[in-house]
Amino acid sequence: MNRQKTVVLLIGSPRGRKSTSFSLGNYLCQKLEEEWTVKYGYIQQLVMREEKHLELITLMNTADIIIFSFPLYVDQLPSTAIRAFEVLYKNRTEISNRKQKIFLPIGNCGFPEASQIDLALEICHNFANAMNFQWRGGIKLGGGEAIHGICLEERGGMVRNQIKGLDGAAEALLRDDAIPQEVIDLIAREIIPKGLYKGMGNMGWRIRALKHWNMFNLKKKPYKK
Amino acid sequence: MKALLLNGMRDLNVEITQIHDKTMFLLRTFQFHVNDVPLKDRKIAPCLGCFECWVKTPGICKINDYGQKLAELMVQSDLVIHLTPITFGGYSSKLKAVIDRSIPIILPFFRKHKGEIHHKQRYKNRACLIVIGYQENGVYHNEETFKKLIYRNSLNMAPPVYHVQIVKKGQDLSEFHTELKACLEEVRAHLE
Ligand SMILES: Cc1cc2nc3c(=O)[nH]c(=O)nc-3n(C[C@H](O)[C@H](O)[C@H](O)COP(=O)(O)O)c2cc1C
Repeated sequence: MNRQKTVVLLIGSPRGRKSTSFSLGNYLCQKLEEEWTVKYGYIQQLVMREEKHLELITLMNTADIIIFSFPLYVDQLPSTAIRAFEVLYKNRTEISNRKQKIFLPIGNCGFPEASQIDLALEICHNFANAMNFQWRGGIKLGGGEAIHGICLEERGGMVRNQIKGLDGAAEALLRDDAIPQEVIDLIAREIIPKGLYKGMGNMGWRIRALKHWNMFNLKKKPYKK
Repeated sequence: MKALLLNGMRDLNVEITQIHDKTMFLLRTFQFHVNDVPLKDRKIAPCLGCFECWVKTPGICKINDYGQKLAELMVQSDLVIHLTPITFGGYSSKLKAVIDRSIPIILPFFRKHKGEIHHKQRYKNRACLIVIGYQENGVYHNEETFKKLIYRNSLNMAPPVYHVQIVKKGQDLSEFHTELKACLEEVRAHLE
């Protein structure tokens, strides 16, 4: 039996609890909560105002495992997540036992290929090294909009590989192991086949625009030279 | 010819300021009309991830601050220059806020490019891109990651010409000057 540990789930999406980042991180944390304590932090709320930075640092001090779940924004982390990294690095001496802390990023992106997140995970790895945190691998998932903040069990069969994979990730963490490559690969499997994605995705934007009576306006060029 | 220089320095740094000044000097020599934007003096809200700039007000972000104006300036410029301290291999958070807020200038629709899915461009004429990364010592400022990032950005943003230049802490700037001059010559040749 493991000693009681504290997991901090940091949500790097501005959509907060309505984000795919939350769906993924929360699923994993619910598994870990069976044995450990889980705390939640929302990066957007913790970095925008300087007076909140202390709260972020305090939260990091309580963590044995930091799970950082984020969306891919223009090939890397959203600006607020980078801000969190900057703040934590600047204040690193205020965070104790850094070598004992595990940093596990979970990236999700809109495009179907999870590999588009590799670079953002590399940035997370650079951050973990700079902080002296332990690295156990990074998790990535493509086609994140298909989850769109809905809880994974509700999404059902479409995300069966991801559910199985996250179960495997939880088991590895509970065993104090690195996340096995097969688990990472399972979560990275395409939710929607690439061949179908383009057509379905394009239609999806038009359907979303319909709500705003905008279906045929989407190619407007308001800033044309 | 119009250029937009986005300076992503957060805390005052003498060397980044020198790089900035050299860049401004060269841009003027090449007769660019320059919009010089020191981001540390600007409050730019982060992207909300709502996609309303694609489906509700196509091409315009709903946050009415200077970030909205910068997206417009990006479209209207012939050349955009990003100057940033390399931050864990990426942009500084200041510059990244502007980049995140620039997604209205692409379309939501998908295309296949080099075997991957990417977005289609909203505007036919796009600005050339020069990225200048300032690298301090240590892993915090990973140069290799940074180069890969700019390559990936070029796949998504499709600038007609793009260049990355890394300036290391303490480096003599004459080499930077020569390299940037060559880049600007290439940009000018493209624009003529
Ligand atoms: C500003 C912005 C930039 C984005 N850039 C990318 C990108 O470069 N590649 C990609 O695959 N998806 C990109 N996306 C899509 C998001 O990664 C995707 O919608 C994700 O599922 C959102 O997750 P969340 O609900 O956790 O915020 C971008 C979204 C926004 C708002």
